[in-house]
Amino acid sequence: MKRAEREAAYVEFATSRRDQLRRIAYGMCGDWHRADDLVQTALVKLYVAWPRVAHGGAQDAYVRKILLNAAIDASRRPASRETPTDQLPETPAPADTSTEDRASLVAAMQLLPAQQRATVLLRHWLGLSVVETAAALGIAEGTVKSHTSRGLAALREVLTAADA
Amino acid sequence: MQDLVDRLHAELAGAPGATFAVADTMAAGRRAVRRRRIAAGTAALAIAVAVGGAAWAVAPGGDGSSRGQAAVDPSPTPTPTATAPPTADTGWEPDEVLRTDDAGRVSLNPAAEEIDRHSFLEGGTAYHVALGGEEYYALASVDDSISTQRLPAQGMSLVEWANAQAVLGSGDDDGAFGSNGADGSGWVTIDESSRLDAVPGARIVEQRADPGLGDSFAAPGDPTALAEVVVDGTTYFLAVRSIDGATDAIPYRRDDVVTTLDAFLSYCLERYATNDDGGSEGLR
Repeated sequence: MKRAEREAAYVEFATSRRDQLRRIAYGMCGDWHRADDLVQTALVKLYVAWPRVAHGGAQDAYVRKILLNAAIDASRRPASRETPTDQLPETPAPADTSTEDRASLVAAMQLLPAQQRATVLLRHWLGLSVVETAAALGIAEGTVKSHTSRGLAALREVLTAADA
Repeated sequence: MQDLVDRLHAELAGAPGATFAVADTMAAGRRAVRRRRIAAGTAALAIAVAVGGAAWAVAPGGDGSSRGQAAVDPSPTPTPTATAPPTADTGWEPDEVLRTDDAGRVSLNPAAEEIDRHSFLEGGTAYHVALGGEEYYALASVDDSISTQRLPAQGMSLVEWANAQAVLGSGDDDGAFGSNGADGSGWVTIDESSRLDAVPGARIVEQRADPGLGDSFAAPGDPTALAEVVVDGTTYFLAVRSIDGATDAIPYRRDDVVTTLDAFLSYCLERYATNDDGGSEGLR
């Protein structure tokens, strides 16, 4: 395959997956700007690995792994991601849902450990199976089940307290 | 639970517009790939200096077609403090070996000293040059693309390396080591626990599971390993990963630069370290 064909395939794939990846990243970090940074990082790595990854038809699994790994790493060292700047960042357009609703669940998710957050997203937003989630995160299937169960329970607790 | 799931769907559905374009990631990816192909960072140089200097630039083995011509005077040891690029005022990048113009004509950096050249019957020309205190392989392919790699190049000869680029450029990574049939993926298999088994004809001298080469080498959690193997009396180092259950092994024929598995690990760690563009140089 020539470079132009490879790049066309990459652009088609990245364009079709960008919004889904952004939502995963947002669910992981709770900030759309940081989510965009994470997705860009993942897509650049995907471009570099594209010839071997696309050859095996594993683009979705690969970029999801990279994205989640980057998000989990970032959540472990949030301070290192902050850099002083003279310019204010561009403000994203407001979302369709109300600010109050957006703040409640996604904000509550940020209180969960990163892997619990990831399992909740993969299982209950992306609809992946336990086996697929375990493969995506590189953890055991039993761990996926326990993370998901604990994550949902913790979310319900936080939201119940907030609604009270 | 369904109420939580519904709420999650509703919240994530309301995404603002993206602050980046896919084209931006492709541009950054191209830069990362270019850095990857202009290989051998400071670690390779440090290894080279550690083993005694410029002998590193002469890749051993190969088909012999370029061996004799590839030999260079080992006396001037390359150093990271090479003089300022003599090509700066001509618009050439310090590490830019070849260019093609709109008409497909290939030009060699005028500051480069040609050590060897090989033209392929099917088109394309490979060069082995010295430039700015370093040595490079460069290939002008028939599709006008340029590939460049700073030596060492997996211990490959010029012709082997050029053939590997042609295979990689075709999108078929299998057997990318070259035309001599040296494909590390046919020598070992890797299992889920990152253990390697040799196939008949290959002997594993030493292996190390999960060397931690990073996301550019394999997705997190995928089985990976390094190994020293002997095939037909020749020693190779392998960087092995599993792609969808299939073993992919990148060979490096032992040379004067990488003589032990420890040295190969150091070399791989540098090659796959994430650079500013989010990519890495890689082994090939």
